[in-house]
Amino acid sequence: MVKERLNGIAREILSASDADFTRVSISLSETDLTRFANSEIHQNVSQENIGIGIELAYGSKHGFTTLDYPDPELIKSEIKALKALVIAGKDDPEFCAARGENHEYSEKYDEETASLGPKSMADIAGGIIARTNKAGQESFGSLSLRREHELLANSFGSKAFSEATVVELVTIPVKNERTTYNEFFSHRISDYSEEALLAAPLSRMDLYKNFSDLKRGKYTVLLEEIAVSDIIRFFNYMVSSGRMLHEKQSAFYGNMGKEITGKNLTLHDDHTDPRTVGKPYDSELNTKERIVLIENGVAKNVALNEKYSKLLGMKNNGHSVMGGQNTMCGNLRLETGDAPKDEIISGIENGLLITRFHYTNVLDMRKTIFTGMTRDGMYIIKDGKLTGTGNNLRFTINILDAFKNIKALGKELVCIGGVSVPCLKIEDFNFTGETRF
Amino acid sequence: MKEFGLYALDILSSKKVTYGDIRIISTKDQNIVIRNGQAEFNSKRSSLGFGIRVFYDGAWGFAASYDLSKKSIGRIAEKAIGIAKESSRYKKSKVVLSPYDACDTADFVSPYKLNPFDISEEEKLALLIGASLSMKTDPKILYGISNASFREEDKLFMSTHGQEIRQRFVQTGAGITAIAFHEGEVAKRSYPASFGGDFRNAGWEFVKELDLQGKGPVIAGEAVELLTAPGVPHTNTTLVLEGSQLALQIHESCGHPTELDRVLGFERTLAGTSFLTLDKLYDLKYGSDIVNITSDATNTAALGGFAYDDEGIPAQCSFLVKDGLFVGYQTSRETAPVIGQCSNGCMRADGYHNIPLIRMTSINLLPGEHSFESIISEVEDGFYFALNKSWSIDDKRLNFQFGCEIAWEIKKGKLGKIFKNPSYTGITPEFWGSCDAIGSAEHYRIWGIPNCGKGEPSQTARVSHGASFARFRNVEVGVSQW
Repeated sequence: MVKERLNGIAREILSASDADFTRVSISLSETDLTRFANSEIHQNVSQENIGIGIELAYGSKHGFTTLDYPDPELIKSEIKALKALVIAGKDDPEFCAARGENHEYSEKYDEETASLGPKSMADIAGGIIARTNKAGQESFGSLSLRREHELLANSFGSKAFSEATVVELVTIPVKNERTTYNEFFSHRISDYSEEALLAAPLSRMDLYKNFSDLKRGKYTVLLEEIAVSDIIRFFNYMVSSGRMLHEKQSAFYGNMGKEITGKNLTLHDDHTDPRTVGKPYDSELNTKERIVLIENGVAKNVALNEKYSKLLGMKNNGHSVMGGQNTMCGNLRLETGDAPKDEIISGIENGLLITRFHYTNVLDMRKTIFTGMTRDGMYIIKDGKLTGTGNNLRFTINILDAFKNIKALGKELVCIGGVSVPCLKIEDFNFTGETRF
Repeated sequence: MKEFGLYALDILSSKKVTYGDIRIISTKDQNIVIRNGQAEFNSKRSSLGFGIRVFYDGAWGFAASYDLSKKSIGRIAEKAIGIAKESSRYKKSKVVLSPYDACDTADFVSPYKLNPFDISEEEKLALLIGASLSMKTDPKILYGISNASFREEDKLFMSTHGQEIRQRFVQTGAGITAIAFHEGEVAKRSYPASFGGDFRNAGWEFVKELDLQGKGPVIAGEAVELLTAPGVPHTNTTLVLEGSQLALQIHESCGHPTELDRVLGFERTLAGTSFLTLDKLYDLKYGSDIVNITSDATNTAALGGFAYDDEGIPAQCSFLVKDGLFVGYQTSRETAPVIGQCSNGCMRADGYHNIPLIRMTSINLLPGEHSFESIISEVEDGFYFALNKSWSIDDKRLNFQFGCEIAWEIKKGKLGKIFKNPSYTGITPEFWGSCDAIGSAEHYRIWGIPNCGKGEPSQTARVSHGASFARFRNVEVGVSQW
């Protein structure tokens, strides 16, 4: 029913346009979010959103408009206004009108998850609150559920429809302003286990009994999967776009085919990974390929579309976003090692276990200089055991250098917000400041 | 639109909600990016929809939709009430809302002279193409980028308290960026601020006043010079911050930590909490005696200015820091009673589809007495940092680190040579405690920040900060060498 409705809007747009090339994207989403703080629900919302993107090209002049309201008269007037805008513009010799192919993808749409209502969501939050309170801790967190439907079509007659559900849960138990953390991500609620979510954060609260003032310096760290996913997400932003490579802004520029990290690092973009919610095609309706960005430390490939594959003389791998304007990887997977997390911890004489980073940001894109703070779990490792906690520290690192110092990769792959990663043991991780007050 | 609003309020009243409101919002946006004289991006966006917020049995419910029809309004109103009922099952104590004197009706239009949506595409493109090409002064300039953004938003707020408030905002922003590249080095310079320039409640006249084309060659020259400049050394020294960087410093280290919802833990899961806990109010020395910071929504030309917030509370101006002492929070009807106050009108939502949260208005560092020359002349050895390149601060808003686009050394009271990759770090109250000079009113400017992120689902607010320039002693700079 949703598909037919979106198809109808797409037909209206395509028939109202007299452009040489027309591309349409229509996304319909319903988002429900329940947030809890101080062991009670304090915010509970539901949104229905529609986003309609229309791209018109007359010759090599092109332009883009979006509407968040599917009114037929508004659509016609926006197409007319966009045509005037495009014709007033200049030729873009690099513009590509991609033909694409037909696609349909609903594997990550789970009916049971989609049917969750405010009562079920409140009860899931209530369960987390009750279990956390039973452990003598206050409960903070959030549960979000998205139901996403998307239709893409172009004037060549190519069309694609996809739908997915996404559930994300965050929990922060708190005791005397000391915090721990965990999160859950899946396309189906049946994967969720309250016990699995809460076991580690509730038990780790006891480690705060042994609290130390940590100072800046270089440490051996075990980054848990949530922290690793943050670094990988920013690394992706800094290096993997074909557009950035073309514009000489990526650290891959001048380094393709060269060893840029340690040999134990291999990074894929793989929409077929069952943990992600990736689609098998891109915004140009081209089939998305599984690509290797870094293989055994060597820079191998970047995300490409029609335009940037031509400009760079490389093979298109179907990673277009925003129509044909940009390229991006959306389903990253860092390959695992062979050591269980406990075994890696037991091999660290003096070090830190870090759960999560906060407010990470790029200081120098080209050189992958990156900073951020630790939060909600900064644990001290002594003689192979977690022995206590410490104050939060600020790190400032060159990511490529840090990736040369990976001494172990975890055996287990965990998907955090669509990025699948193992935990990492890194030596000489550079902390440049500490929180104090 | 009023008909739809009345229909929603009738439903809410018939269901006996304690309080309810509806916001119906129509928004138009245009974003233009010109790169090396070519239009890289010229997009428009139109949006229309409504959000209904209800307060029922001591708990909130909120639902929103793009489908503006009576049938949909009925469905969404029922949904919002249902959500509030479910929320109330997991409330330890019922929320109490602060009282206020509700106006009946109001009609507000933000100040502007030339509506940017009435300006021809040819005129907009000609100005921006000229600005973009003005930076192509050297073969090492890889890109000369100019951009402009325009928004026109009509907002109708109606509540079960009988309020009917219409507000219309016309907002404009613009800027230029030169990117230089040579032998693997990349350098960037922007004007008048980084990340899209400066923004204001204003029209096309604001873009013309910026003189982007005139400033292009200057920043292009500086970008080229940065390619071979030395890096700022790691040391503790005197630091003078330029206005737009100071605005972001205010934003991160004063604006966010004084949001009372953060202090109460409502944002702990994502944005974090605050070191300015309730026991610090009227007690903590936040900065030196010359530091005075206000939350001021009454300047309607500022990007954070308005007539009423999204709870129908009139725009206000209040002190957050007075003579260095921490004296106030940004509040809402829900949070203000916790500190025995009434709301000071800081609730705003990003579009129709989001619930209002406490958002910064215009958070301003009030001017001091110094000219730029006098503030520099009193520095024996130090740096002047300008325009933001990177920002990061911890979840309690204590430990911050900023990167800037450019630095000039200060030697014996004079500006000297250019340095690249400036960064500085500190602890919020220590940093503001070291502030010993602030620029005077003639250098004071309200900087617009159009992309302040907060909340779940993620919301982007348009806020602003008044700042001139300021001097800080014994600051750690050159944190990491690269």
